[in-house]
Order: sequence, then C-alpha cells, then structure tokens
Amino acid sequence: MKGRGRLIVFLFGGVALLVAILFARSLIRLKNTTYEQVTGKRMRILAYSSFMGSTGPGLQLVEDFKKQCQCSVEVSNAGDAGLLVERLLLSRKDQFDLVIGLDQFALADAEKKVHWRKINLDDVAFAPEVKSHVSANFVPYDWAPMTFIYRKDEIEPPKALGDLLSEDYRSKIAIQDPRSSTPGFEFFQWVMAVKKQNAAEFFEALKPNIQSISPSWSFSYGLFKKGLSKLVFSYVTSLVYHWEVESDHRYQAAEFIDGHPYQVEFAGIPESCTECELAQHFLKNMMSVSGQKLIASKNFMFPAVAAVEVSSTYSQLPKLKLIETPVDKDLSVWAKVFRK
Amino acid sequence: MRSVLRISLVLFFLSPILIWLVVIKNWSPPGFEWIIPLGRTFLQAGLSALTSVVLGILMAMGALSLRSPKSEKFLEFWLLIPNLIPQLFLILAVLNLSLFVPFFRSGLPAVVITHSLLNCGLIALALLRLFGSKLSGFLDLAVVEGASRRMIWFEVIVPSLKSELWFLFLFVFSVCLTSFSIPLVLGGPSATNFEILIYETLRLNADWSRALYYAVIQIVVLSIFVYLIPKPQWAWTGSISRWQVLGLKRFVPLAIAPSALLLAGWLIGVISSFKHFVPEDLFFDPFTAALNTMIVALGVGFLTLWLCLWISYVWPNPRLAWFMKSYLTPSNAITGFALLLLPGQYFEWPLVKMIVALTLVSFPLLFRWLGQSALESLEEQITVARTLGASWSQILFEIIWPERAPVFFRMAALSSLWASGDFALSSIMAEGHRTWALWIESLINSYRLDLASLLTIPLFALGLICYAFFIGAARYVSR
Repeated sequence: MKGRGRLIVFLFGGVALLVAILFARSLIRLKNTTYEQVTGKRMRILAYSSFMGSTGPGLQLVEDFKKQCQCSVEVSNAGDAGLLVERLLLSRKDQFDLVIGLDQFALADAEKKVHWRKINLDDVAFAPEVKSHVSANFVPYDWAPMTFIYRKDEIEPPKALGDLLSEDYRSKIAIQDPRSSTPGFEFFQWVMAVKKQNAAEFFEALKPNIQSISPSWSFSYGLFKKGLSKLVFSYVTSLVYHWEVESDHRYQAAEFIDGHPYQVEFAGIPESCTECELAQHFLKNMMSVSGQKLIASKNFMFPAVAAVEVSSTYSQLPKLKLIETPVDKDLSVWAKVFRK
Repeated sequence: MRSVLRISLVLFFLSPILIWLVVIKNWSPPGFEWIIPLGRTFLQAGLSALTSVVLGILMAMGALSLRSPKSEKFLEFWLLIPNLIPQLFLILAVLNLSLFVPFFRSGLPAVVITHSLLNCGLIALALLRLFGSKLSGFLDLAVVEGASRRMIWFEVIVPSLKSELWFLFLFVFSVCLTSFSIPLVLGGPSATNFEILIYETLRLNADWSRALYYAVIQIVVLSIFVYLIPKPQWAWTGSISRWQVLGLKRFVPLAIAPSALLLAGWLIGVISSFKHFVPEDLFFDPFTAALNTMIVALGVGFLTLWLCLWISYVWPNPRLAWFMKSYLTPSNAITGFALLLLPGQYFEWPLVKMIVALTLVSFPLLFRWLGQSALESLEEQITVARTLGASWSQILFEIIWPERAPVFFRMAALSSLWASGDFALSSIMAEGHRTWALWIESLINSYRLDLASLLTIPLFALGLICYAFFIGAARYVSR
C-alpha cells in the first residue's frame, strides 16, 4: 500500500474504531437501563463534579435509588459548585428534575433567577445549626463549620482572627481565592463579618503571612498536606479524614473566639421538573438516616438531620461557636487590597 | 470549495464564541477594570517567554553536544517531561524545590521560573529542529570552513533565527497568557491574572457577556503582537547529530536540569505518598477509566490529524495564516460551557465533547508552534506545483503530507499526551470518575492526595502510550 493509502486507512480506520467503541458502549449502557424500558421513567439530576465523583456520595445514592424506583437516573455535571445556577439557567427549561450542591452564597441567585418547587419534608428533624436555613424551596443536606487546620507539632494555633497577623505565621497560611473558590469566599466574608470596616487593613496586614492563595480548596489543602503551609482554611470536619482514615491525630482545628463561619449545602427541585415526584423521593432518601450517613461520611461533612450518628469521630470534633456571615458577593474590599 | 472549507475551519475554531453569541441575550460591555490584570498578565507572560527562550538556547547548546542518535531520541522525550506532569503536582514539585531554593518560593520570579521550566524544553527542541531545517547548509559550510563555535553561534545562528526566536517567544507568551493556577498559587498575595478575571466574572457576577468580551480582548491583543513580529520560515525536520561541534558540553547539565528538577520534585512527592498512603475501599473501575482516557486522548490525536489535513488542503492563504497565528481559544470555562450547551449530556456524549473541547484548546497552540511554519516553508513548492498544473488534492497528498506528515503526527502525539492528563476542562463536561485524570482530581478533592499522587504514574504511562502510538503511526504512514 502506498503512503497515501496508508494515511487514509489510518485516519479513517482510527476514527471508525473510536466511533465503534463509543457506539458499542452506548448500546451496552442502553441495554443496561432496563428500568427505563420497564417504567419509562427517567430522572435527571444536576450536581457538582465531586458529589458524583468516585469518592463522593452521589454514585451510591443513585444506585440505591434506581433499585427502589425502577427508573433510570441520569446525572449531569456542572463542574464547579459555584456555577450550578448558571448551568441550570443555560440549560433547556425542563432539563433537570433535581439540583444538588447549592451553597448559601448561590441560594440568593438561585431564588431570584429560577422558579423552584415547594419541597415537602415535614417529617425531617433538622439539626439546630441548619434549621434557620430550611426554606420551602431548598433542603440543607449537610453542613460544616470552617476554621484553620494545623498540625499540633508544628505551630501554636491562633485563637482569634487578629492572631493570624502574628509574625509566628509569616508565610505559613494557605487560603483560597474568593473569586474562584467557595471556602475562599467564606474566609473573606468571615473577616468582613468580624472586622467590619477594618477588614481592608486586616487583609493588608495578613499579606506577609499568606503562603499561598489557591484557586481551589483542594489546591490549598494539597499544599498544606505536603507541609508547605502550616495553617489552611478548611472545614472542621477535615479532621475526620485524618483521624479516622489516616489515624493521624496531629491534625487539629483552631478555635477562634470570634466565632466561625459555616457552609451549608442545599438541594432543590426546579419548577420545570418533569419527574418531580421522583425528585422528591430522591430527596427523601438523601434525608433518611442511611442517606445522611452516606453523605456525611463520603463528603466529610456534618449531617443536616439531627440525631444521625455517623461515627464516633464526629462527636470528638471541637464544638465551634458559629456566626452568620454576609452572603452578598461584593468583593470590592478584596480587590482593593489584592489588586494593588 | 476551498474557500468554503476555509470559512468552516475558522468557524470551527470560533465555535465556542459563536455559541455564546447565540445564547447571550443581554450584553454588558466592560469598563476599564481589565487593564491592570491584563497588564500584569502581560508582564508575567513576557518575562516567562523571555526567560524560556534564553534558557532554551542554552539548553540547545548543551543538547547539541550529545552524540548518539539514541540519545537524540531520548532527549526529545526528556525535554517534554514537564508537560506530562499534572499541574498540581508540578506546583508541588516546584514548592518542594523552594525548600532548597528560596527563589522559587513566591512572587513574580517564582511564576516566571516555573513557566520557564515548563517551556524551555519545548524551545530547545524547536531550536534543535531549526538547525536541521533552516540552517543545515550554513552550518555544514561553517563547520567545514573551520569557523569557531563562538562565531557560528553569534554570527550565523542567532542573526539567522531572529524571526524564529520571536516566534518561539510568542508561542510561550500565549501559553503563559492563559496560565491559571501557576500565577495564582506561586504569584503571592497580590497575584492576579486575566484568566481569573474571566472566572471571577462568571462565578460571582454570572456575566457571560463580559467574560466573552475579556476573551476577545485577549485574542485582539495577541493578534496585534502577531502583526508586529517578523514572519518566521522554518519547519520541524532534520537531525541534530551532525553538529556536535557546535555544542557546549558544559551546558549539557542545563539541558537535562529542568526536566530533572521537576521530575525529582514530583518523584519526591510520589515517594512520600507511598509512605503516607492508606489503603481504602473506594469505588473505582480502573479499566473503564483507562479506556475512557485512551478514547479521549486518541480521539484528540485523530481530530488533530484531521484538522491538519483540513488546513493543509486549504493552505496557503494569508488571512487564514494570520487567523491561526493570532487565535487564542477562550478560557476553559467559556469553551467548556459552550460545548456543554450543545445537545448530548449522557451516555458517551461527554467524551465526544471532551475530545472536541480539548482539541479546540490545544490545536491553535500546537499549530502555532509546529504546524504553521511547516506549512509556510512549503509555500514555494506549492506555488510551483500549481503553476505546473497540479490539483489541490495532488498537492495535499503528493507534496504536503509526504513531507510534513511527521510534523502533523507529532502534533497529534503531543495533543493526545496533553489530553490524557487534563482535568480542568474535562471536569466541566463529565462527572468526576470518567477518565483517569478526573478520578485523580476527585481524589484530590476528597483529601486523598497521596493516592492521587501514586495514580499519576499510570496516568503518565497512559499518556506515553498515546504519544508513542502517534509517533509510531507516523513511521508507518511515511514509510
């Protein structure tokens, strides 16, 4: 065969092979969706990527639900949790039956821009920390206070936000950028809530102590785990992973007298849903004792339902004083300090 | 026919922007808030490109003194190593090194050095090929005539390659212009860049129109740069082993150092992960993840080849050349979400979208680096062939492909290598366990950095298999 022939065979053959593999796998998947063939029901969920990731609770929840409902469940990815509402707005109106992963910052936008269906979960006894966040349209399904995590053999922990300015923490603190990360936004709003009009001065004075500002929580936590930073802004429940999975009790959470911000994650059913009952049923499963245990243990967060005991490690975590932080998205103070 | 194909090619590359033009209803033009981030991004990208080119020249000097054809082949792979390591691990490697070299620690120098370590190998590789393609006659003559090494370097090589060096500068500049994590993490508290401005606009203000304006500003500014720099004439061909005499042995360590440093930093991380790794029972189907990774990586490689074929058929055209030189794919979020808006969310469609998106992002850069000059250097032959009555398909299959297939296959190999390790763009389109890289990302997101670190080794191997596949295929096709 001449060069030209070989090229054509290679180009067409390669693409044909890839298409054939994709086609065959689609057929196998279609064949496996027996539930849809039986009942004709198909629920579509929109969630952020790590909820449905290999270590998240989503896959297990979906598999369990499929067995119960005899329906098929399709999950779409919104990538970053901060872009869930945008993803929903950009989709076809009836595309999703359930949205999972909104945080309190996205909630205002979600409420304003999308119509939501009322959720009936009267029989759920919510944990006191999230009770104030329960609304007719959104269900909180997990939560966790945020603080600085440290290793006890490396530094003395700060006890107040003001302590973070100490020279002892020079180039040791890892935080996240509020422009691209929800924990970063929590930290920013925490400082705004505590320092109020002095927030800009605080950020300015904090600069020399910042080891890194990462685009995401995972990035900054990676730097901390590798010992490159000594304090990282994270969830108090991060300790569960270190204590339970790694059996490493050097990891501790700093307790601040100023109080701590906390993150709550919500789910909601868009008004445009087509399998609304299934979505409601799925939510009920999420809020059941087994669902809550699964979510809390996989996400390393606290369950949103009272009296759900995930493991003894959760009860050993420090009980942090919580404060409410603003949820508006005004980052002008950050821009003023950090874009100089 | 050719003009229709040309227009459709341009439309393909512009498709993320076109999709948004259809979707966005309300337009909010930007003020001047982008000037400072753009200025800073330019400074960072400019310094990174300059350092990369200087370092690349020194590395090429060292590499030239390597003698055997075997070491030449190994060198090519060695110089590309920094591009194989996932970005988080690359940053961790740099930060590991910062414990010994304070210069790496933070601020603009850290960003510039990291970008340089990443790109200087590419520059050195391009320069080595240039010696074979553009300067081989000069160099042979100079060596035979007994010109000194110094004279050859300063009176032949550098002056003759001025426009090519500018071109390589521009290539690194455009890569660093869209760099996201490195400037943010290593740049220090006041670091900001244009990409994060785009992300901020999307995430906090949900203003897609303004983000799109920013992306267009980036493209326009890059086009101006392209217009200003001289036009290079070179192709990625030829062997370097003839001119060992031009090499400087003392620079050999420098040629090896960037990849060795990053590889060492990465391996230190992997070894420490072995120590801390805790076995857990996690959901994971390695076969499916590996298969999906291969499908995406090979798909990107094949699409790259098809695009090369497409461009080769409609070449030469000055407007297309200008477009390809100055076009910069909009940021990951804009490109990823644009494709997400197209129908097809389930079954294997996310993989297909990943293939298209990753090609859209990698192709313009690779074409600027390798493909364009390869085609431009054949323009004279094409003109002669046309004058003698050759048809366009004859030119494509009898001139362009026989001569440039190795370049196009190398582009395919590199694009598939990069695609195999991507998770930034892929995570917008597919859930967190579809490919090996996405699985690594989901492990990083759930505290399991050590396991993720270990899993970069198989990912590395998968990337290399895809790379070797296209390099091997090039031999089969051009035999």
